[in-house]
Amino acid sequence: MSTNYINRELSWIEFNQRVLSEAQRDDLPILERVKFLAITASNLDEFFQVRVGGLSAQLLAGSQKTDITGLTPAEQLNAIRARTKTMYQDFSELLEKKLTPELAKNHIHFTSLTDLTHAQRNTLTEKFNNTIFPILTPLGYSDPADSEDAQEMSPILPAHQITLIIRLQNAKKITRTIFLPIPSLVDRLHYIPDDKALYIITAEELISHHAQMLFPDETIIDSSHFRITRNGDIVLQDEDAMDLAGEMEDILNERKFSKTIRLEIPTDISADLLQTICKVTNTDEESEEDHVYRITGAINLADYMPLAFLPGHDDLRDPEWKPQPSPAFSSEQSMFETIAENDVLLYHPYESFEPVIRLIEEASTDPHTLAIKQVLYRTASNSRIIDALIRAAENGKQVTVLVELKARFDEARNLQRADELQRAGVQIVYGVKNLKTHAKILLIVRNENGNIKRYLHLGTGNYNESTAKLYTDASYLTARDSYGADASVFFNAITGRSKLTSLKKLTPAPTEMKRSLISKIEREAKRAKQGEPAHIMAKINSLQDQDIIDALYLASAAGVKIQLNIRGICCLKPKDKNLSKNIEVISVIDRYLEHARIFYFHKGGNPEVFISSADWMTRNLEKRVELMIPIADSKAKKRLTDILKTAFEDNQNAHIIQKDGTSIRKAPHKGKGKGKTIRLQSILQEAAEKATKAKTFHQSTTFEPHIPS
Amino acid sequence: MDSLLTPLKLNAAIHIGASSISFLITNEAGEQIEYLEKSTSLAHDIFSKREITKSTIKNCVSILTGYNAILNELGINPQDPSVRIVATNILSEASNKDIFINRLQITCGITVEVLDDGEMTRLIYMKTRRHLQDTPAMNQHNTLVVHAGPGNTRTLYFKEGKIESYKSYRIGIYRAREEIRNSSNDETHVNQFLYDHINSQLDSLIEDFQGEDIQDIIFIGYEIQLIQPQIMGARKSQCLLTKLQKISDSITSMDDDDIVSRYNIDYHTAEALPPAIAINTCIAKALEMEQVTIPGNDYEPELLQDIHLSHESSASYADEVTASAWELAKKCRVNRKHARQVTAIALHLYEELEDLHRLDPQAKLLLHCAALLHECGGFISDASHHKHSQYIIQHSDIFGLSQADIELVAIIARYHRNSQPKPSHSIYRDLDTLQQMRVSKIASLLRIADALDRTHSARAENIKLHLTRGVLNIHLKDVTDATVERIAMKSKGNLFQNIFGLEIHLHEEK
Repeated sequence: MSTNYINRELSWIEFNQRVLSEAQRDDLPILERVKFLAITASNLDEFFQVRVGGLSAQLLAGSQKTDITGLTPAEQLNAIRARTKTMYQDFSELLEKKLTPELAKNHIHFTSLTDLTHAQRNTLTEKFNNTIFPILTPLGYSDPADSEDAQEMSPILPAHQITLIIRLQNAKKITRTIFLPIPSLVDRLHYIPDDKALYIITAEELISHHAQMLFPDETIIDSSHFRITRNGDIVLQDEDAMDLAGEMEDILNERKFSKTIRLEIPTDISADLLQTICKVTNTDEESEEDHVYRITGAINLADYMPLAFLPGHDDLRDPEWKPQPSPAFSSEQSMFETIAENDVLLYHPYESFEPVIRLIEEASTDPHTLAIKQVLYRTASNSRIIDALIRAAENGKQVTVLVELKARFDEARNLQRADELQRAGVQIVYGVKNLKTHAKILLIVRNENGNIKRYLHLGTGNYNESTAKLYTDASYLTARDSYGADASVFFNAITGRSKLTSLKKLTPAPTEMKRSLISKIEREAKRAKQGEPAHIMAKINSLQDQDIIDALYLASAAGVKIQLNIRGICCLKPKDKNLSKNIEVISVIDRYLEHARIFYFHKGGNPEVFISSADWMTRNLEKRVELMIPIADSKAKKRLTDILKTAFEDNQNAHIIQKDGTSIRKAPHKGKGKGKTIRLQSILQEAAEKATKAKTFHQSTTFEPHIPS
Repeated sequence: MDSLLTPLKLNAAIHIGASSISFLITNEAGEQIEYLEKSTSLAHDIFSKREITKSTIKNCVSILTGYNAILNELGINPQDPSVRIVATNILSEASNKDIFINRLQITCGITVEVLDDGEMTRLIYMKTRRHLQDTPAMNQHNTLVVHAGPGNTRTLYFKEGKIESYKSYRIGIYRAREEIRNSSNDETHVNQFLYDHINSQLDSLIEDFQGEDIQDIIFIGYEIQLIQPQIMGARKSQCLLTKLQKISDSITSMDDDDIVSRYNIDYHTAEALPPAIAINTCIAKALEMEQVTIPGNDYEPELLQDIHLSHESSASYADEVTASAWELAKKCRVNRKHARQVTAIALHLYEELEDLHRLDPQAKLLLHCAALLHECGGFISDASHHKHSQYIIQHSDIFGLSQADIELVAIIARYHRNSQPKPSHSIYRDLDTLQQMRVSKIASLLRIADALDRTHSARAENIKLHLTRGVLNIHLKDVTDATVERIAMKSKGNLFQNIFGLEIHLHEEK
């Protein structure tokens, strides 16, 4: 059994704990804390569906396959359950003991119907009658004697939503059980304002209070609520896919009916009701306790997100940071002209994503544009990018879009837009078989005076204008011929028109990237051995690939200074005397989700800097189509290097990853220069604002008169 | 597309090869704009089944449909002359070649030209030239260039940068592979069997180069160049034969799966790799070379580039072709002075009258060869020597000319005297109308040139042409009396007069 690594699932849970620790900060405004709690809960939901779901499926299939730390699926599941149960306790404690009182101080009260005034109750009853009652669907269930039939007779309950369970008794003392799923259309939190305060009541409280109205001839003798999670990690069988799109739709349906892997119940539920729930939800009897999470206080805290964005309470939130327009672009010059002059680096969301959208919009109506090619992974719901692509196709441009259908949990949205694009005449490719296309690349081909000129956007984040306001990502815009030629080869390969021939600048996965990364790490190690200064910095979301970790261990042993800024999973064991004495791992958790991947290799003082769509995970490097992009522009290189360096100076939102995978928040130095706070994200925001101000000032001192033409 | 846009000036070439279909688009400066390649099993089908299977046809159609989409993106019509689509000559060995070509024509709207032997030799020559230019030392050496193709192996032998001989042998990668597949059941000795088979085919090659002092050997080919970096190591293009032999031994004992994962190539190429490397190794060994040269991995893109450099842009190539024709003429003991004089006049006529005849540049090369060779039939007998010329040329090799072109040279030479082309001549009748016209035009120029050196004394050295209404005036400087030429022109100028409707008037100019 190997102990050189950290289990990925446990490492992920520690990441979620770091997110939770933001909610635990007394110095943050209360609604920010609510937001972080909701994010933590939502993260955990996804983790259960995919990771726990996957491990459970392995367990069911009898797999004994161990992970890099030597744990079997069963052992991992046990460890996960033990660890997440503690996390649930943290949730409850935080909500009950910290956040609820703090909200109350600010005149926001969680309450129950009985504590409301008569008038307030009437308003809610009216709301129930008009908007909730008509869409409720009670599902009847009579406990069969024979448990064999239990399954057949069981209603199919929706996952991820709270369901009420109600035990009824009629005049003849005959009992029956009703399941009442709270429709997803019904808000979880209902607000009742008065002149002094705001009262909040949950949907389960509201519905259970009025439930008697649904069953006029029976009496409610017992009731409670619960939530189930089912296994969502269904692997597509690519080989047999005749029509990938059709199959994806089937899976979207299938996801609603797979095995229960988590059952959340309030602590005060009766044993009788719990037994019925377990029967109906097919929750494994033998390991019942393993699947059942008893929760003090509210369940499904992800639903509390809207509270964080409650209108009119800006004093309870951090002041807004506005994405700034990049000074590189101006309204007088076309995007093409600007990019042809110089490469442009954008660092979102400090700098707005707008120029990327503008580039596609300009291309869609530009008479010189011949073709637009793009990989779309997760787009925003009313994506302006897709609108622009449709317009381009309608204007006679050759538009090719690779729509990746395998983007987890977003397939439904992706499919809908794929149809729309196809109708407009866009050539659609539904991903590459057996591989998920994760590269973020946009290619625009123009005819400039009879010559082909290519413009590129290469990024670390999705083409999604909504997440671009929340995720930190890098965009590199260039018209360099060598990059353009590579992009063309890349698109020809992923659209199946050509095999992937060798690229000059870009490094693709799964063919080259891993090998290339390892050889770059090894080269630093070689330099270190020869006494040269050697330094690697990387900012990634996850580090899990064993070969990369081993290469890093060897480089550390050779004396390479290695600084890793890893938001999420880190299977590397840092600070281990024997393994990794020169490796420092931090994790920045702040207002924006750290998402950009940036790599720096010192190369004897002539550093190479890359941005990439790929994390250092086996799935990214071996099972996905990804790109690693060298930054050619020296200014852009410097900016990215500074971003990398500043993260390691952060003493507000950076956490140091420990040998056991847990983390400790960094604090300002005690001794000399003590108390000086450094926060990466606010430094970047200030820098972006300053740059915009400088440009605005410049414009206000150089007037451009309107001259009659 | 917007009519205000300057049209793109691009060239496109598609090569339907033995194991892949490749596609190159270049701009005016010859820089690569797009390069695509996908594998097929054309050679596999042809050598194992003698026909192209339905699934391969389907695969080719789908690849070419994709390439068409790219042409479409750039606004290029696949029928445009800037697009050239060629197919490997092994296609000729497929029983359903015509069906295949028609299918591509109908489904993809493309016209495929099958590369013949001469054209292939030209392409290999072009590649070699490029390599010789890169390594000037080889220009001083005796260099043998070997191209192991799917069906045949070609050799080009250069002495001090000039072509000395070229040959084609019936040893081919897929031919060898089939041989092994059919005869060997014993898996363990496959590689020895492969070597034995190849060696047994090398006799005539060894004989051809016996006593030659070959200093360098260059191997070019799709497969061998593909794994060149792995054979040579980074930035090297030479290695010792012992090393090549080692790699050959290892590859020929691997199965396809091993080769695919070891060399990161597709299965179609993987099946061709063992015989390819074995053929090259056996040849190097048979010729007792110590060291071999393999150029870098850009076989296909280079080939496509040269496909597009049609004949006119390859001046040195034309020189090699005419040099080869001249070798033949010398062998047949032609009157060198007369042959050179007729050639000079014929080319002069060709150039001066370009606006009139509107012939293609390749026609000039054919005229050049025909002029050099027109009297080679005299080697057999003076009587009817034009017919002997035709026969000799028809059955000789002229480096770099396809068999079709050699036939044309033969016909043109035949018509340098006596009868004009007639439909009753089967050799003429068998040509299509366009080729008939081409032959007649070229022959008419040759006939005038021959008439102007009737005395075989090269006295009409300075010739000026001048067109007036209905007349081609030929001014012969320093000729006092052109009676002889005038008489000759009566019988030889008729073809020109018939075609162009111009009388020929000779003028002496003192």
